Amino acid sequence: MIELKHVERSYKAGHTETWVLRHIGLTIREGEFVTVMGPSGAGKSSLLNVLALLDDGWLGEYWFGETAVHTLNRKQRADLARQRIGMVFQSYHLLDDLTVAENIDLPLSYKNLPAKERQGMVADILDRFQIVAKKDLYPSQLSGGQQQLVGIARAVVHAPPLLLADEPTGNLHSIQAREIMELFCELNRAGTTIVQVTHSEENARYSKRILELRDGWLKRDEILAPRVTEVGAQ
Amino acid sequence: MNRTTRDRSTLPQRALVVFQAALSVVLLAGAILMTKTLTNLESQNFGVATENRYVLHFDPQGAGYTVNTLPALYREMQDRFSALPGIANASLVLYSPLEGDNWSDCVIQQGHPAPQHFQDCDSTWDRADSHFLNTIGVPIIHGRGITERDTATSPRVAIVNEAFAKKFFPNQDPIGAHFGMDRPEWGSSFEIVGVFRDFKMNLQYSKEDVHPVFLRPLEQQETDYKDPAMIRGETRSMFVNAMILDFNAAPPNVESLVRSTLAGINPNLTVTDLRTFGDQLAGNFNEERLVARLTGLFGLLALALASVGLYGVMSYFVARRTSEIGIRMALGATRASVVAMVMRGVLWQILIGLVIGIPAALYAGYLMKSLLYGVGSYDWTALAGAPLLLVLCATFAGFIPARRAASIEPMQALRTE
Repeated sequence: MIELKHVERSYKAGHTETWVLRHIGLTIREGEFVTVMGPSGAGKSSLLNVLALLDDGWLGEYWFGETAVHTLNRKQRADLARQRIGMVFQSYHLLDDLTVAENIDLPLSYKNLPAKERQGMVADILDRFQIVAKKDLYPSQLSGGQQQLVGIARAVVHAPPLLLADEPTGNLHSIQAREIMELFCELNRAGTTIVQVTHSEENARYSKRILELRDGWLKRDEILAPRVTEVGAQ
Repeated sequence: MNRTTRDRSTLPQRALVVFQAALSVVLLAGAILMTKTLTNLESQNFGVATENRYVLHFDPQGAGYTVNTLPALYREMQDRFSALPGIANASLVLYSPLEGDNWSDCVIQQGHPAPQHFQDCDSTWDRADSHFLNTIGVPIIHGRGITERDTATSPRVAIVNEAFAKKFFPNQDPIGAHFGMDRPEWGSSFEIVGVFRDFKMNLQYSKEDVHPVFLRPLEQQETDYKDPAMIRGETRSMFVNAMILDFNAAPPNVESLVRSTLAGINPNLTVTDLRTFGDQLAGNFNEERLVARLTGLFGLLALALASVGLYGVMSYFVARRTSEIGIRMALGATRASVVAMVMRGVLWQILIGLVIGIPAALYAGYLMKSLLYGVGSYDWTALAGAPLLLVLCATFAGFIPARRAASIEPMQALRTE
């Protein structure tokens, strides 16, 4: 699904150039659940931003399926991201002025879908995430876990094949974090490819593969054995 | 944890922008109305020819002339000025048309009683020589004009304009009729010998209608008055103040030519004012010009304030909502949709400003009704032009922060608290 070849990213500050990604070569197949780990400043979020097409300043080759992202202009990249990528943030990034339902509708509102179809999609996801009762509440009326649930619902409402999550449980306590990770597993089982960034070893164990970055270099690429609890659940 | 903020803190600023927008619509609409009024006033048909004509003002009384010495002065002035190079006509007149001053009295037709207090008997009157109407391009349409034969000793005559004939002698031929001023016993003072085409002698009575006017020969003095005030006024009227010079082609040195000619007649006879007839006419609208310029200036000032205010508020809006804009872009908002979002905010404020401003402009137009000429108080160019100008300026002012918002990098915006 995703192939990176010699991807590099640096930031210039005056005469100093700081490299945050160095010669990243990476293949992520459809249906994978990948965790990116590493210490702070290792380049995890930078890699996620490259994958999310939020960052244009990288070098190298980026293939998204058959699409050569590195040849696309900014608008084409934004179109691709809108159609095929969902994004979950550590700080949820819900809009305070919008209700839960309106927040979930937000990515759909940028897709030129008929209002009725959008309403149906939002209703489906509210039902699927069991947050129908909260649809008219504002984010400030929800707990952190509930807000992240809405954030994930918003990310997957348009059924993107790729879900990217940047520290999705970073602001949650362990029980909420576990629920979110179970939800990710469920989405992954349903066919969504997931790439998450986390510091948590426990969260990483929910995924099938771990990538470890250090100083911008990809130092480890490990396939994990299936979790016992997960198998048991199935 | 959510980084977006409600925008209630900008409500006072937005209210101020709305007020500025409404005010600018009112002032701009007023400015358009006054500018159109001024244009209509200046381009109206005054009924006189102004091209290549100059108006000279002088003061024979101040130079020591008396009623007895005036006829000789007038003859010499006529002779000297008629001999100037390029001159077509030169005429003496007590007050020249549209110089902002003239005399008016109550006209009483022969045999009529004194008018009641509610009856309008007012007419402008003036003294002029036999060249006057020719000099200003006004034709006699009935009877005759003032001639050289209308002297101090000949029967006292007057020529009247069409408005005079219509007002005081409706449905009858005024030629041969007699009238006088102020009292019935003087109702036979003047015999009407001619009717001239209407022209605007003054504007203080009406900017639109021509006021009744009658003209008397320079040298004919009513000697039957017993009232000292009437005698004083009649004597004063013998001293003309103005001369109109009509050139075939005005020489470049008109002023020095006029000054030297007048000084050649009598060094004590000085030029108190000399200007083109066109400038004299335009001078009637100094007040309207000032009002038009001031309303225009204030309108533009209000427009600039509204635009700057809008720019400031929207820049603040964009700065405060950088994170929200980043989230929206990360969720699929295109740069065009971000511009549209900011511009919607701009246009809402302007729309509210227009909702307040247009009725206020209508009311202002209604209040300005008496100041307008040739333009209705509900003029569509003003009511459409002012909002259009505001929308254009506001769009420009709002587009700058909108573009700035659209250029936000979502990756950086998401890191913005």
